[in-house]
Amino acid sequence: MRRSLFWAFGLAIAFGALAATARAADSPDLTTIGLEAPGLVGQDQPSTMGDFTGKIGYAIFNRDNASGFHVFDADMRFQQGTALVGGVATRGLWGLT
Amino acid sequence: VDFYETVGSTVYHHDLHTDAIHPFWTDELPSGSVNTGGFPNQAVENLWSYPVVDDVFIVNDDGSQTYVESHPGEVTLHVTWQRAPAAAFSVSGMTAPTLLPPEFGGLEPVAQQPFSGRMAWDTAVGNFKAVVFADDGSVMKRFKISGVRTIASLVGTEQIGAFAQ
Repeated sequence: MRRSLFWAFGLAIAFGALAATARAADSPDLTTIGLEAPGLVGQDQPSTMGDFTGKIGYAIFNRDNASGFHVFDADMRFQQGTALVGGVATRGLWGLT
Repeated sequence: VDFYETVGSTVYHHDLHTDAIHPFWTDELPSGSVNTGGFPNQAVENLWSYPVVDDVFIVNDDGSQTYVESHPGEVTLHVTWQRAPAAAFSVSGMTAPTLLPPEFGGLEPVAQQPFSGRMAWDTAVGNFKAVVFADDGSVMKRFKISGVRTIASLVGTEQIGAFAQ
């Protein structure tokens, strides 16, 4: 499912095209929309958490033929800052796993 | 975190995600699990025995996947974003209108919001471990991969939406 997605990422990076991944918050108070990496300067570009200000780190990992299994995929993101949670400005740390 | 395991002629997809309504969604991380003291040239994310769910699928010949079973699991990871090689650049625009872009099958609409900030490419290296447990608590499976480098990585500072600190 996601393997093809990450190969798409690789191709998008190589050719400078726009590719995207997106996630939503599991809290109803946080409207995470996603993050779009390659292509960078343009529309729909990094959009992590609604009503958020702070630091962001994002990384896509992929390795084929890893020892003991076939393919490894992961995308990691942290968002450290302040977001509106239930209408209240809340300092916190959010991320993907 | 996804591991694709080959057993005989069968490929199993282990989809380890937080126990949320939708897999992979953003979750609140434990306090102290990210160190941004060297930001933007270095940031470190550590998660230790972070609770996840392992959804297991069989990958069919046509690429589709058939759900098999789910088990509790834990993920331990260490990711280092380091030494952004290029100068930061400004970004701005509107966030995506759907939770997944149509090419990946996600069409759930969300309200778009403005964003702006400064981001930089960098290199991240990750070490990952995962343990999957049977219903009786015994260890069913372990996965480990070390020193894997990103195919894309960004660090930066952004403001999203109308919120301003």
